[in-house]
Amino acid sequence: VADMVGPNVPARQQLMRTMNEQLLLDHIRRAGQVSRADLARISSLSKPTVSDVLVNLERSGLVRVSGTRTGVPGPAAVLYEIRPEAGFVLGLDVGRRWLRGALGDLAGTVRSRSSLKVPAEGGHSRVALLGQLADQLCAEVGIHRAGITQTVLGSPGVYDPQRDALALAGALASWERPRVLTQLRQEFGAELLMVNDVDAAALAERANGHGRDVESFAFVSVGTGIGMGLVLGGRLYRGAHGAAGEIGYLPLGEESGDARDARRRGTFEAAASAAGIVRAARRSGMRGPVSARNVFSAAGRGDARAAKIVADEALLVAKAICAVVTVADPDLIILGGGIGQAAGFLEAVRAELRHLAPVQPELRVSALGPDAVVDGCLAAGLDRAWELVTSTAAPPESTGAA
Amino acid sequence: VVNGDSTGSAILSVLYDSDPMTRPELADRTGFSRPTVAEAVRRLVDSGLLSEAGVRRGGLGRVPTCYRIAPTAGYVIAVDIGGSNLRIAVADLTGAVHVERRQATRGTGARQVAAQTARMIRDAVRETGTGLGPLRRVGVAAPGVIHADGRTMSTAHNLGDDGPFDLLTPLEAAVDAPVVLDNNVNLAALAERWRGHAAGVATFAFLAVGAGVGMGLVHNGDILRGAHGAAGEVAYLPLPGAVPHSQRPGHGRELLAAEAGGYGMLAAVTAYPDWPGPRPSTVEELFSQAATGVPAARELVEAEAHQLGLTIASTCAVFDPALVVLGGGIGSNPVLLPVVRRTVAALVPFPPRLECSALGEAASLTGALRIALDGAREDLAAGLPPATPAANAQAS
Repeated sequence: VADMVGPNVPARQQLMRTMNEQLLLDHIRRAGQVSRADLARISSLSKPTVSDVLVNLERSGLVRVSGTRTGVPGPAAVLYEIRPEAGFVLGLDVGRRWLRGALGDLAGTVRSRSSLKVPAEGGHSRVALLGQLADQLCAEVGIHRAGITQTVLGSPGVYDPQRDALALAGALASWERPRVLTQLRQEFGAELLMVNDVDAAALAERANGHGRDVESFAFVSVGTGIGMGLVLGGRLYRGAHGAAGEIGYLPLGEESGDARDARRRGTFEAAASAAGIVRAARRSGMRGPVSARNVFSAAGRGDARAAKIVADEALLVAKAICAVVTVADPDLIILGGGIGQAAGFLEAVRAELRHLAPVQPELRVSALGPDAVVDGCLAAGLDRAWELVTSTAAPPESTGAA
Repeated sequence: VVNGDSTGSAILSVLYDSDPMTRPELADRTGFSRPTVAEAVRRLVDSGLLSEAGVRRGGLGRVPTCYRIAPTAGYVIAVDIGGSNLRIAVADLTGAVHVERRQATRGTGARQVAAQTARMIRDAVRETGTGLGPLRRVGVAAPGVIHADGRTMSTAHNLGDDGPFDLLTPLEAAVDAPVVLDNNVNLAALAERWRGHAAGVATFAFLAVGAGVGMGLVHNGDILRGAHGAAGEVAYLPLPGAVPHSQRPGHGRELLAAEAGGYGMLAAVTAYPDWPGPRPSTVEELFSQAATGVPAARELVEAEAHQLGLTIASTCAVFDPALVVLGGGIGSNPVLLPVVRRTVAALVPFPPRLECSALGEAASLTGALRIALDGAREDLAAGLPPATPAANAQAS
């Protein structure tokens, strides 16, 4: 699902679980709450075997009694569930101005959430700040950092194995230095998982958003930066170099972008990101403190120059979506980011796309807020944490699953 | 419960792609015991699928018999329906081609072309006679979008037909064997993975440039088809094209489609003011004028290469392939490659490897042969009679 940064480090020291334990854990996770008799029926194991395994799982803290089933004839059945505290996932999001994070348990419940602003005066290491954020999140839940099963960091850029560093980090250029990765591994351990931030947002859409029930979709984020997370066949598609969805590099809008900016972060991103809108506003003669936000609000108030800039932006974004359709043809396009989620923007994009694309995908505005990247990291980390906590080879003397 | 004869199908799948082998060699390769293999070989020989390939010389002691796929085990037909040519190949089950024919595509519209294709298939069956055994499968490369039903084709522009048109029924009526269809560009991509540059490459794209442009995208051996079958329809990329944006009457699909490829190049020749000397009337003439140094011709060939570079850069930004193979009548011309490479490298951070097709004009036909062989072999494996207990007892 995501980049494993660094060598494939063997999972931490853990108890060996038998095949039977693993089998029952999977059933319990799927069922949520389940009785001993139900487990015996679903797993085809004998009731005494199920009892033995449950005792072991309870003793090792993976499973707990959640209550009893009442209201049915016969004696009340004891129900078992996964103990949420059996594992923790830390999700972090590194932005230019904000660092966000959340700590979730093995049941997928978010237990603490926080964010902090990167001080403008500089001199603060983002890695150290992320460490502080992690400490704070753990303290709120009452666990030590060592109790985190899996940490996932959503970040701009992609992992470049040749340099063993991040690349294409856009506005976070300092993040591309190889020592950043070294420091991150020191702070969060070698098992740290890195996910591109837009890919993480796409994973959040798949887990909790519009992407839940579709085979394929593209999460297209247009804001201060531009990127896309592509889900094909229900899985995040990353490409040969991890650069799939780097749509900022589409050769679109050359005439309206800045040539230097285009070389640095791609033709389309230079033209259509917030900086591109500000440049277009200056060209059209708008004065004073111009931002993408106030161009959009001026357009909303009926300012003709601003409206023209927004209309051009909609055409440009429609062209990018058309490119995505002609190459990958997903079922659904989800628009996100400060510009992508602006009021009325989707309708303008849809009207342009109708003229451009050979087939029309469904278009929707992301309903996820600023925590999307963190939530996507938690979703990616949860599967991983589950594997770490439960999956182990059966010991040689094991009699197998049945 | 294993259906059919698993030893038999393992033996067949080894021998499809190898030199003749002895029974002990087959036992080593398939992992089945020698008696089991010996019995399965006997059954395959009895059913006409294997034959003895003579004995190997030079060894000491007993001379072992080698076995191979019987020359009369059956055959497949591959067809490539193109806008200017229909190609057909007859191959045995090992993929060796015995007959290859080509005809100019006559008439316009899918109906007429389908009738001509059916005639051509019947002629190939007649010409093959009984020398290769029974016809087992026909694979067809078609120029339009093939619907999910596997029968219907639409937007076959180079047949002058928007469809939808049921292409399968008239072809099925021509032969007594299953017929399978796929898009010609997708099949060219599969062919490139089978016998070309993409062997062993997990993620790649095949960019076909002929009269128009189209792309086949492959990830882990599977063709990416898209939610509406439009994946790889790169003719509709909204690129800054030969027609300046300000001069377009609208953002019409047809205009966008006309930009890259042969139609677009010839349109650009027509639109070119004051062509020095005789104006080229075909793409071949245009390329040969470019080769002799006619500046206008060179300019248009470079513009085409640039346009293809933009198409590939767009593909990289979305799909990030490790390799892009350029094929088709125009795309496989290596003269385009330097400008294509330069354009892509200037635009995207991780440029893919770029190659001209190793298969040239035969790419789609080769892909059609591949799906015909796959189908025929699957049918054979599924249809083998199961090993009977009595047969096993005899073997031991």
